[in-house]
Amino acid sequence: MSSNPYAKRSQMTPAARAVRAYAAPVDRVTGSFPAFDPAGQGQFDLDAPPPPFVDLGWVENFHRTALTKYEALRTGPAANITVQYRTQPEARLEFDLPSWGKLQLALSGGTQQMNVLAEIPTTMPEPSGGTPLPAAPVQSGSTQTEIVLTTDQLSNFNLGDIVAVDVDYTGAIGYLGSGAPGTYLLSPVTIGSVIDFVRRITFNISRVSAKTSSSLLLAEPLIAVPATGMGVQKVVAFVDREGSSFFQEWSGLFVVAPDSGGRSCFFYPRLQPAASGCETRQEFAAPLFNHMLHVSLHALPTADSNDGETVLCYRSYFPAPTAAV
Amino acid sequence: MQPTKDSFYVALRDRLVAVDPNRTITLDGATRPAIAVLENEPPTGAPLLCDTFYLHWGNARPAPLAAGTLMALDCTISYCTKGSIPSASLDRGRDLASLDSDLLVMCSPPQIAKYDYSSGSPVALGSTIFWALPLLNAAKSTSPYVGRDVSITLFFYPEVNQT
Repeated sequence: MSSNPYAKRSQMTPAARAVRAYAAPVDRVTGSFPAFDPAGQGQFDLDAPPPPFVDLGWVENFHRTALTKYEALRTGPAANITVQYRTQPEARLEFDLPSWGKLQLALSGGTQQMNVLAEIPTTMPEPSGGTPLPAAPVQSGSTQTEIVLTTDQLSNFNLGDIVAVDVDYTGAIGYLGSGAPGTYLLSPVTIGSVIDFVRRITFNISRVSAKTSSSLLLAEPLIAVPATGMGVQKVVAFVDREGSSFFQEWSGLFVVAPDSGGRSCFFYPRLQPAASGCETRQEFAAPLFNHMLHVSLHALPTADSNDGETVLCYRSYFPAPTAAV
Repeated sequence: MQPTKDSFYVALRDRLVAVDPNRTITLDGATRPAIAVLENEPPTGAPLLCDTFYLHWGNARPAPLAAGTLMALDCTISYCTKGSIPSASLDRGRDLASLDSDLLVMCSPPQIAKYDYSSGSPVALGSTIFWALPLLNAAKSTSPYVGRDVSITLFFYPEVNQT
């Protein structure tokens, strides 16, 4: 028997039961993305991901596919391989999300993800929401976890409400949405309830967990700080539209939880949808079934800051203590 | 887990009152709907009452999903009847069918909100419990009784601070 405590390789095979997923917004204007630093952030608490990553929950059927082409230069009468090279760097990623939420729906649907705002009672029915109740103006002193409102507006919100917090639409084009781009406009929106358009597509949402005499306290921090000039509206549902033109883009981080020691992380700086949204059905006690969001993503290339190499995905591994390396 | 057990029992009890208000029993001098959780009753060793639904809790385990915290909990509901004296127990099959019918109604819809009853007043826990449709096992006859066991699997999410 070996007495070397650092030679327990047989005990250190990576065994895991699930993969945890996180996403962070990409700055679509500059193309910059949040870096996941294995040295500084790699061993993070899975329930407290490093900002700005947002927890997507556990995922099922996590499957990575490398599609980069390998070519060979052959020479001589026997056409021996002289050198190999790679072309068309490409990678895909598929998984199923048991947990549903706005960001999960956005990754699965791949298109513009809309907040269905609470409506005035007399509005005409519209598939993506009719005329909404007016927004409550955000007051100064608000933070990512607390929205200060005037007393009269405060009474319009209840515990458990989902709220969208963002600016009024004033005719801008390009990427819109505070904290994360929710859409891209080639021309100004002129139909529907125009002033509420940004709040219809914003990812800056949370749920009211408590109220004070002057503010709403939020269950999860907003991704952008609420500022004066923004408005708050109730969200009653989320909707996406098959056929829509917008492409979501997010950074993705996937962690194979280390049941037996070693932790694996897969960091995709840029991910865009590779297919339109669909769902996966997983029966667990017929006729009960788990209805999961299927996600199919394309990894887009980036350049590594250390040497400029093209990168689709960073795979990092943190060996278990005493595991052979 | 206790909120799941309590919520299921309270839901079935309230539904029994709605579907068959006359199906009552008298236990310890108190008249109440004819449903009881065996582990919550005094351990007297007395025989179980006829025409009463008894809940027995069984195995608890993780639901067969790779990810998530969903739990499965088995419950057996047993009941029996000996029919009525005026009919010389010839109606015990019909009484059993009546109990079956009540139970099926009580189990529908197959989900309820989960509450914590430990403080004496229900506190909503923010999740639901749900269950697969009840499986009515074969009737068992031991003269003069006829009865059956019904198997139900409940699904629930364990709560933080849940006892």
